[in-house]
Amino acid sequence: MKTLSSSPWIGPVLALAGGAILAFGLPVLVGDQAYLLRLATQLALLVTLAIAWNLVGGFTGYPSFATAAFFGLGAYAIAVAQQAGWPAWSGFLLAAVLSALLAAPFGFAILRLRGHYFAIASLMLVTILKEVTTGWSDLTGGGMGINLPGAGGNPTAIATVALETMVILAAAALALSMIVAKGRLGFGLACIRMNETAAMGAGIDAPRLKTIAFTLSAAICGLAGATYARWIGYIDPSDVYDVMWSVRPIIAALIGGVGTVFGPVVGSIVYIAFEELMWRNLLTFGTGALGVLIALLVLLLPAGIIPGILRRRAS
Amino acid sequence: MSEAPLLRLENLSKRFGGLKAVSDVSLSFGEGEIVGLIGSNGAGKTTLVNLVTGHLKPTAGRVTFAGRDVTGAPPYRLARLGLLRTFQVVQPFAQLPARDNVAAAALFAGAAGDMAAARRAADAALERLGIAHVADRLPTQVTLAERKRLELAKSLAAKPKMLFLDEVNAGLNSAEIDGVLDMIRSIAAEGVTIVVIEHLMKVVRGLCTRLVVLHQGALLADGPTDAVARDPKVVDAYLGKRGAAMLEAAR
Repeated sequence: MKTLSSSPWIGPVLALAGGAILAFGLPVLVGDQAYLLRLATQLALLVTLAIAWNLVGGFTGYPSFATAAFFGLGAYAIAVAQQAGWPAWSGFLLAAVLSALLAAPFGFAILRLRGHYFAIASLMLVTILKEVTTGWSDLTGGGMGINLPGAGGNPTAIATVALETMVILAAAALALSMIVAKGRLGFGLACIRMNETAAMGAGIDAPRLKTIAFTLSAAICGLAGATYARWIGYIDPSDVYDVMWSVRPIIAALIGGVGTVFGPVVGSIVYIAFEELMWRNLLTFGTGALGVLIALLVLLLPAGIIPGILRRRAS
Repeated sequence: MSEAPLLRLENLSKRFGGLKAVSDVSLSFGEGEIVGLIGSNGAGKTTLVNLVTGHLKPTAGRVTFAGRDVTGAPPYRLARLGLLRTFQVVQPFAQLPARDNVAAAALFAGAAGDMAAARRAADAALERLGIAHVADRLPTQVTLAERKRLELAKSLAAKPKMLFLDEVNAGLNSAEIDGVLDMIRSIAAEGVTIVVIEHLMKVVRGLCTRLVVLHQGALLADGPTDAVARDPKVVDAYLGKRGAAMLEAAR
């Protein structure tokens, strides 16, 4: 632990470098195999969302269901920006900034709640944004959804760019997560998770740190939503505000290890691999089998794969 | 107390619905004092401490600490200003080793600039309280007496000006209590004001030069330990004849 903490930048730099290699190496490997392109992009997306969720649900200990809200907001931000003729980069910027601007006050308000109460309040935001988006049809196209202009063209080229963007985003999220975990913010969040009363007594500004974690998480989710929207080319409220966008990252983090840096990554890989195998081989019982897997994991590795391995090695 | 007091409470009150848990309490504490806060169960001792340390907001009244109005200020701000407390039930960060438990206070409330400095400050605080050997252990792996000292170490690492110790001796044996009392005295000797909330007469008598007595949320008596212990109001309301005799005997 000491050797790691003495060089706090090595991990994040490696994550970014690895991400860059993967981002531009994978398309070369995969070529134009649409299925593999899609699978790899889905995996990178889940990794990104699981890491973002872990900042709040894992490091801080507040089980948020708001992931889908910021994911959807980011997707709509870039869609509306592109309809207005903005360049793509400004759409991404808008997605991140809008998500953060909404997350900061909303997070500050609901992070006073604990446990189930917080979970339900965070879930509310998904419903609210979905209703607002559906109702505001002048801007968003309402229930009819919205097309992203310029999304036409070569499907393989679009899928390749989507994969590259998503992998880089996942790597950046991982690097950020490492920096948070090693730094003052992560230490404060860990204290809050373990004992919020004692944390405040030790001088930790809990409302502020929790809001920062929630806001960072939201910005990542917004960027993921924007990447998704450009990839799919057409979005509607029932797709991007689907509560499964909130639930799947939580399951992935639970599988890999909540509150660990690499848990969300490992958990996402296991989740996607299992989901694909099940859909292919057990079409009618796919969801059921996933349930069995989750039940088994809870029984055998209650803290997740990463803590499970660490414990085995320690004993 | 000729100069301005470190902590001043003016007409502090707290109401829970119809119940006045603390009513109209005015008190001043000077630098380096060791004060005993006593009273029967439900007299409002812990509520008063919660009001002062930011864990509850007062219904009325004012709190001034080190020349600043800190009425209703959150605990983390007060901790940074140097006003700290320990809890009746110890409140560790259960999955962090003792060193990091203390380092948290050094980093966020004390003067430590980074984690390495915070850990050094933590080691110094643990050493000072005689529990350097538990630095790498989890709070769940140490004895109750060590855990109480760990709480003290946390407060110490935050560079306190004033400490509220809520029954820091509860559950300890006689020898362990003597050890803790020595530490409290040595902390006070550095100019830290200490308020102990206590039931144990031995502690009150041996440690405090001044007693504050609460009764049904209101201030009943405030003065030098000897005078307060003989005060007929205090004897009637709290100590009883036997308690007064014990205090006398403990002299």
